[in-house]
Amino acid sequence: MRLTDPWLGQDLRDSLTGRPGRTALTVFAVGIGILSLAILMAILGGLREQTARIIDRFGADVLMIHDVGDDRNADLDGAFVRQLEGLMPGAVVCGVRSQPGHDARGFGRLRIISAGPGLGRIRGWIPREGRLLDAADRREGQYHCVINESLAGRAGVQPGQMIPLASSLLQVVGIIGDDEAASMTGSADGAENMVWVADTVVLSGDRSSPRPDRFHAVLVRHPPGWTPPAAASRIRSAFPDTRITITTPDSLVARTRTLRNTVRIVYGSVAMLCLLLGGTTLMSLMTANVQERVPEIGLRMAIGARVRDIRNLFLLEGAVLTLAAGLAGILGALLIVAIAGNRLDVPLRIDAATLIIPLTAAALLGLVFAWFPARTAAAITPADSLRVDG
Amino acid sequence: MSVIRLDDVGKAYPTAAGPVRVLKHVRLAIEPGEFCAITGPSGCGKTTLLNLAALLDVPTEGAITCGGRPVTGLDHDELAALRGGMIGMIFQKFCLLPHRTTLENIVFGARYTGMPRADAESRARELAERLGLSGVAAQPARLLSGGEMQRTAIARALINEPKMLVADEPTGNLDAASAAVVMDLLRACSREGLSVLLVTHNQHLLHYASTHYECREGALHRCA
Ligand SMILES: Nc1ncnc2c1ncn2[C@@H]1O[C@H](COP(=O)(O)OP(=O)(O)OP(=O)(O)O)[C@@H](O)[C@H]1O
Ligand SMILES: [Mg+2]
Repeated sequence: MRLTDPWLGQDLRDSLTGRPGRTALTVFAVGIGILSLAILMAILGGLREQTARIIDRFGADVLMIHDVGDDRNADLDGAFVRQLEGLMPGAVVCGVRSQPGHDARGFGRLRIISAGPGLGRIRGWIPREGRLLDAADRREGQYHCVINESLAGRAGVQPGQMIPLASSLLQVVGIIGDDEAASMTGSADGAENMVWVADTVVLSGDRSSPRPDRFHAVLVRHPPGWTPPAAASRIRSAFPDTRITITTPDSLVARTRTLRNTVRIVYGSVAMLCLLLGGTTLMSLMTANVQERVPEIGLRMAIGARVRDIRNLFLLEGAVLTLAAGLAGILGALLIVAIAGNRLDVPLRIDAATLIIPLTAAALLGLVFAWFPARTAAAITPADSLRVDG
Repeated sequence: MSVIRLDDVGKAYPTAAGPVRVLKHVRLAIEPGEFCAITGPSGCGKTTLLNLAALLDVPTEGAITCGGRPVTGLDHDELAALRGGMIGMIFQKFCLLPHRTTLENIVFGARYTGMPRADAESRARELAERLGLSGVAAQPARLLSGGEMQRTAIARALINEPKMLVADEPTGNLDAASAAVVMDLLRACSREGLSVLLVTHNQHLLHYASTHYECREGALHRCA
């Protein structure tokens, strides 16, 4: 069968427009299956992208150490930080306190990060304006801070100007990008803005603030030549009695991998079911077509059609139907992503795989499920088919 | 040389109650230009015989030769190629593609013979002209009269320049006037050297034929 065959176009047009209702129903049923597959691909793509972003923000050679138990207690202390520094010479170690800020002035939700200058080095921040906190800020307990771009914009401050926070006035020394700050605010409590002060600073009027020498978490950037898992096991063996959890890029990925697998299995089986239902619809409607067209098939055989000509006619019909359905399904998926994409909690991403895999699936589905009706058609004997009332 | 030749041919259909022998010891040879009519009571096996002669079916006994070539043992595809090039079929119910135009239905006869589409179209136009179908050439076939439909079917059968036309009660659904037109056409074809094998119930049409067989209980009897 040559696709450039000038006869094929007319044959296809005839069979597809001959029963428009049936054609539409088939395209709809298969299209739903392809749509669900395309959405699945978009979700998986989105999760993959989200994972990459999480790791990117977290830092590839960074570990985060939490104490086990209540997160609000800052149970890690300065001694622990210094022990870690001794354990891995060349590592950057930084204790971090994190607390919600009171947004009295409509700047948006804040998170106050109390940490030494190591934070900037671990996170690899580059100030957009001004500078990051330095050792002097920490040593002298200066009321200096670094804030993110949006907050600077809302508060209308430049480096060198003052920003009110709790009952304190802080001098802004530098501004970092929102994207960089997002690695510290996280999305958990919806905080958009970050204020970074030295861990030696006690903000007045903030009684909930823990003691300066206590931390919620310790961030470690391991020295070159190490890997996060190696550094983690080194730390665990050095502090066998300390109840800590260590987050590495790998453990973050593992967490999203679990989510991805869940999506793949749960949503994937729904998509498979939709595809199967679409396929059986295709098969039953095409079988009905074959039955109705028995006299026509007899005629074709009488004028010289070979068995494979008849089979290919129906196979091609199935392939065209499912390709049309595939395109419709993908268009539907693009539409859904465009309309609902940013209103959903699940990240969605459209890329080549989102398009190619469902289209391939459509073509395969067409071939597999059109195979049986096509075989039925090809098995019809000309003498018997011409006896059927046309 | 005979266009088609049936030697001691028999046909049995398998049924639940065992094989039913519909034709037995049939001898028939159709020469070029012969107009052969077959009559017989309903169920005697005329259509079965025609299907064998048109290479649409294979006999359970005996041998068939087509243009001197034995067809026993040919596979589906070889038979298809042979009947596509040698035989034109005409049916009682016309078997047109209802949504296609008259011209497209005529062209359709060349669908599987490898004739270039443009050649098929110009030949179809000639045939439409000759069979008086030019006026309805662009009409969908479902809107044609019965006579026009059968003439379209004849044109479709002629487009491949076959050696033999096989017609199973081609006038069965036509009135007397249309039937006469169709029969005149078939006779004209046979006078140009084409063989015609016709099955009919209509005794009034026998005078068109040059030879006449009667089918009785699965056997063929030549009539004077
Ligand atoms: N595929 C088949 N399987 C079993 N029996 C069949 C089959 N085809 C035809 N027959 C039987 O063979 C016999 C001859 O059928 P055929 O159609 O050849 O008769 P006919 O002479 O053409 O009749 P009519 O004039 O009514 O068209 C019938 O009894 C019919 O029932
Ligand atoms: Mg019959």
